[in-house]
Amino acid sequence: MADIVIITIVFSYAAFALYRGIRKSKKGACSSCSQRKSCSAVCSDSPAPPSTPKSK
Amino acid sequence: MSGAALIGNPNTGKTSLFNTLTSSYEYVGNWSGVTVEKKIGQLKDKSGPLTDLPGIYSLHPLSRDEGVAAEYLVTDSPSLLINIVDASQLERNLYLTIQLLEYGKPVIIGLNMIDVAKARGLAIDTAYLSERLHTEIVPLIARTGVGSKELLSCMNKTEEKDLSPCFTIHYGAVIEEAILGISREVNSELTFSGLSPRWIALQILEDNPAVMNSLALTEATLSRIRAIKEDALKQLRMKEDTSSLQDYIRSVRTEIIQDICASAVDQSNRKPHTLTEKIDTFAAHPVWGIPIFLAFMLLTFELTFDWLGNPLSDLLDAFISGPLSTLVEQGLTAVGASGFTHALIIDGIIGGVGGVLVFMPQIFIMFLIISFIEDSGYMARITVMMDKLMEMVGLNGKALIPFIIGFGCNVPAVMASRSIEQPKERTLTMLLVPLMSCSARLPVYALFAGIFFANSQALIVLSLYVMGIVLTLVLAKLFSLFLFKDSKSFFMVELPPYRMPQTVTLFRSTWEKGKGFLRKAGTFILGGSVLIWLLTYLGPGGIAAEMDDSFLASIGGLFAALLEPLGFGTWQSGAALVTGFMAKEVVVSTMNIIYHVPDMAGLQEQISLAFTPLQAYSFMAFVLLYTPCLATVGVLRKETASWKWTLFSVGYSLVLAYTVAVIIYQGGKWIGLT
Repeated sequence: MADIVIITIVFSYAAFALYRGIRKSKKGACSSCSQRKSCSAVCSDSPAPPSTPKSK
Repeated sequence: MSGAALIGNPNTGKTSLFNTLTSSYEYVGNWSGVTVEKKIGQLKDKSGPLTDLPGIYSLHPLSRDEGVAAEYLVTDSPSLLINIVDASQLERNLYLTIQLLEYGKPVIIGLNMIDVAKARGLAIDTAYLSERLHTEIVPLIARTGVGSKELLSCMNKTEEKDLSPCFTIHYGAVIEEAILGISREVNSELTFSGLSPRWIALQILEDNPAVMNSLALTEATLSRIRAIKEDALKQLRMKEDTSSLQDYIRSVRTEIIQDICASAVDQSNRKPHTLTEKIDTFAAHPVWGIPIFLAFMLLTFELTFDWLGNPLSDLLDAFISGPLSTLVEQGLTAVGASGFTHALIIDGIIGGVGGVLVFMPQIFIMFLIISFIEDSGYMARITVMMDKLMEMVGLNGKALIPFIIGFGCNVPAVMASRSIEQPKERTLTMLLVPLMSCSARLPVYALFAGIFFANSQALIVLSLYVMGIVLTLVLAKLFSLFLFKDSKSFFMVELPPYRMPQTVTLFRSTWEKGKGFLRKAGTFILGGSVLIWLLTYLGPGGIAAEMDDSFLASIGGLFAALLEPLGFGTWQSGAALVTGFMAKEVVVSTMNIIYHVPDMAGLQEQISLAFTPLQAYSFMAFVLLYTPCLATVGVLRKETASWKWTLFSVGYSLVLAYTVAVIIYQGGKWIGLT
């Protein structure tokens, strides 16, 4: 019984942590950053500068 | 209170004060340009919001982040301005103060760094200053919090009385007439803006693009304003020798500032050579500066690894593999857990997460030293010394800030590239940031260099960091020649005085940087370790009897042949590198799980059997350069807004890593290394 509980907890937590990590990374910008609170380029949901060069 | 704003020159301690006055913690550093966006916090006494704005020398912006402050004044119209002035640089700081006093809203001057001014032998007559500027002045030492209570109570008082400043400069008949004319034009169009028409008129006369754009005046009004300006300039030229209205207004203000400073600042005890100047004669020397910086970096790595980091890491390892593992083992046995659960917890979680966590001391020491460099003022010198080199390879001097942040983590570094105005230079910087060796790569170096280069660990790690920097410069030159031609922009950095960082600030800043690593270990790395362990436990034929039959072995095996010329053509290396894409620390987690050993000594023995020193160095170089991690790729995609550039970043780094590792391994073999 204890076995099933431990395994369920571990796998669900691991799946959740991975899912959340990948989702955050996909979002990009501050949400994926480990230092977002102490960041120098802190981005209170500010949009990225609009202009990016067109590739040649 | 509808909102107060902190505004002042760069590096005057606005963010330090912001952190003291509000209960938030924002990143501070003793170098210009740390704040590139406005930040809002609630005042501790709950009397309203406080906005921290990026530092500016005048309301006339030079770059995007400098425009933030001027735009804020037009669009948000704060009810109170707190102008932070560096007491040791009064004359330069007062230029912005005058523009703020003209804004027409109550202004409190926070005269900061009075301790620095005193140390330089400068005495400031605050009563006289207050009288001349018609405003309240509160002396401060923002770093230690001295004066912040007085400032807070002064803010409440000013707010209650709603004291608008009565400070006005008479700019001469011609300009005054133009101000009247423009004020009339602006008034007829912006009836409810709540802004002082005189201030708007002055900003227009100074050609402030941020203010003009935020006002969004109609073309008809603009053309009438242009006519007023042209007329004023014509009349002015008849009387004065001036090239533009902007220059003339500047000269009037400068004259008044000099007059105020002459009486307010007693320089009779001024010290001829400050400590900063003495240190800078060698630390920022054009020739000696760079070798001194490299020596400092070597010292950093000696401390991070040999002297302090490794002994602490050994202690932590002894705790994780000893008491902690035993306790968990006993607990699992007590609840009757199966062999599967035992293996999952011990080999998967403790092996994977613990294997990375043991390198926590190295990472924290590294962050502590980085925080020290930032806060002491040395970081600004490094940017100045590197600026020439950066310019030579087609990079903007501003790119140094993202690059330095990149040593901590590449994700915020990519974000910090936003302060670069030129889109081409910004993209170039973002593409190169992943070559900066982030802290996630430290565990890999610590593990491998500890095994194969025990006596010269610091030197080996330094060589990897330098390799990253040199390759960045070489690639910047190549990319700017072929991909990003014709771009130049402006870079200005101020050299702050050296100062001994406050212990509390230092530890706080280290903790803020390092806790991300701990959080990542407890979430993403833990999740990854469980997944990797499961991939070693299961195989195509069900439960894998041997790890060589597991899914992970199959995945790693796909790349083994490809990695052969690099010296590490095993499925274990392939698997560690593939999983390392999730986060670079996972390379170490995977190694721990694959070689499932009880402690660091066991792992070191296993790895020393699988690699030779040359192969290990080639492997470390590959880990340094190969694809940016998942989070960095995510942020690159978002910031470049282009899949093409994101994939280019992944692609070029893989090719670069492969080429460099081949050169190291094959070249090393050729000259007889093993």
